[in-house]
Amino acid sequence: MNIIANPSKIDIKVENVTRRGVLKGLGIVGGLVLAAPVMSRQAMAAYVTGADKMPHGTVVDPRVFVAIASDGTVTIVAHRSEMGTGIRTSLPMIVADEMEADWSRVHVKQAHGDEVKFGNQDTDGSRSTRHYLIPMRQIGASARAMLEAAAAKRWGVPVSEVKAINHEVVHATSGRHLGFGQLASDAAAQPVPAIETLQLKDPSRYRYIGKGAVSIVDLHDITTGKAGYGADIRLPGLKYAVIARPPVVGGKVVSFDGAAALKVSGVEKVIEAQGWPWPSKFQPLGGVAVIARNTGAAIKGRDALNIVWDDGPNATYDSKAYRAQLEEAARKPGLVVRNDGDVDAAFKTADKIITGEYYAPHHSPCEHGAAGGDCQLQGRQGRGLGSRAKPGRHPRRSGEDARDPDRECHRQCHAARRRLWPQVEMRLRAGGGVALADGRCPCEGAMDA
Amino acid sequence: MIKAKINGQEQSWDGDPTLSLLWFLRDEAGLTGAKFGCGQALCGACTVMVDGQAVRSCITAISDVAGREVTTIEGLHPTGDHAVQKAWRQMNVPQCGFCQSGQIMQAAALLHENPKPSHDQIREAMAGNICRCGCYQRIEAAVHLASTGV
Repeated sequence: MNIIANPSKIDIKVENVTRRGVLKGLGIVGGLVLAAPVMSRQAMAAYVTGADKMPHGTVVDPRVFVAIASDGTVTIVAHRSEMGTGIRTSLPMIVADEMEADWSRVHVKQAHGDEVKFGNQDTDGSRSTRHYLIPMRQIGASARAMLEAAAAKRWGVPVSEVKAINHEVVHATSGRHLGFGQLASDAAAQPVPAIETLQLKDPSRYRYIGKGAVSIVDLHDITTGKAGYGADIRLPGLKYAVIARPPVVGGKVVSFDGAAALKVSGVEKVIEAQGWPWPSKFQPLGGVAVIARNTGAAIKGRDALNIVWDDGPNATYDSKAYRAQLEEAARKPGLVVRNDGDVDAAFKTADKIITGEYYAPHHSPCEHGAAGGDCQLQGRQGRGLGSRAKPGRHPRRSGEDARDPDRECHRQCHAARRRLWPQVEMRLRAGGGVALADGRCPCEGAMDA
Repeated sequence: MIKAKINGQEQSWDGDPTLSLLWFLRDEAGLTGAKFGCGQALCGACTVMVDGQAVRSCITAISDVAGREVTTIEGLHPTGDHAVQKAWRQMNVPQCGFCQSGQIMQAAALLHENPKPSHDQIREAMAGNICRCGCYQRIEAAVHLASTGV
């Protein structure tokens, strides 16, 4: 099935992306290749995964995901968010395996939020690998084909005689070989092969996939405290905000008195954060934000707020009754979707029967919801940037749904565009509390993560 | 004015003396390795060492560490090669990693006090540090490895 999208139907923002700009974006200096202006193309599905049904589908383009520096360093973009599943490692590893890159020479670069460029970036549903195994392999195979074509051209031999093996292209007949770095600029000049022409590796030749030998890329940083999470963003002049949320989801502020909060040492400002009408879905829930010089002061300030809430359409929702309803339903016989052996007979003859009921909240990571903002007057239209994000939600506020920080980030950026001065550039990073850079900025009112 | 030595460097604070050590470290001293999880000493993500003992920095007031030595994950070893850190990497302990600074500091404090803990002692010492990825078996194995030589 060919699912290459009609470019005229895709909302592609044509940016004047210079090659230098792309290089800078990838964080590499020097002779690097396979970086080109953004031109997305979608994967050809090897089997149906549902990836094509996701907003913005899949993007298969080595120029978007892979860069090779002249020193041979291969940079591969991770476009999904790390939440402890290792996806930030495994997706780039798939590309590396397919392109025959040596993993020890691969640098993983986290993508910002840009689904037109990278394809769908929702990191949920345990489906990133399922959706992206084939696209990532196709990206790697494209890069490999371009490197092999460049080497064949250099040597004046048919491309069928050369082969990429472990970070170099080899011409077995003559014993010649060229490293990926040496081929970088020539490979960049090669056309990106059509997806239909790509030859994927035979799985028996995998170097990394399925071998269980690669550690996560953040391993060292995690053990030294250097790994960055949403709440770890530090910007010049940063302020910290904590938001008192409606105690009932869908509720809103009727009035508030921030006088006591403002007396807390370190608290600088108290503002109402606008919410969205119910059902707010992925839009902000609103509340009252306390902005302070540090988070501890902001929490104390929040606790000192006096807020009158309108509990809204869910005012009569009864959590205890709902729990009882769930428990009752769980005790009833379930729908049998598979029946192996004779369970009933086994229970009857069992020496010991263990029964138990378990109740868990809906998603509760140690890490809490956070978003960071950097508001600068740039004299141009606002732009939002995503980041490496972790699962986040606002803890211990009853009734709130878990929210995907990436989506939160997108949402905030869009909200910012709608609501803020058009001259304001917002750089948002999702992930614990709300951090504000420059508390005097006019866009702080929208930073109601 | 409150003064404390943090990772070997003298730091001072003349703000709210009840400010928790965690927020002082993270937001005033720029040391973001210790994490905020629950704020109630229930999860262990904020664990640091004060005079070699593991403490929950989220419920420790900055005034309580006046004149004492605080060690965070950033100051545990100059090159990040404390036996616990090395064992953590060897055993591929972390997944999301959010709790791991606290886990490592708790483990380092344990080995500081008891260099050869039994498995039961490891479990007991680590029981207050929650990992929502569920890395507990690897945590126990890594502490044991660190205690027997990496």
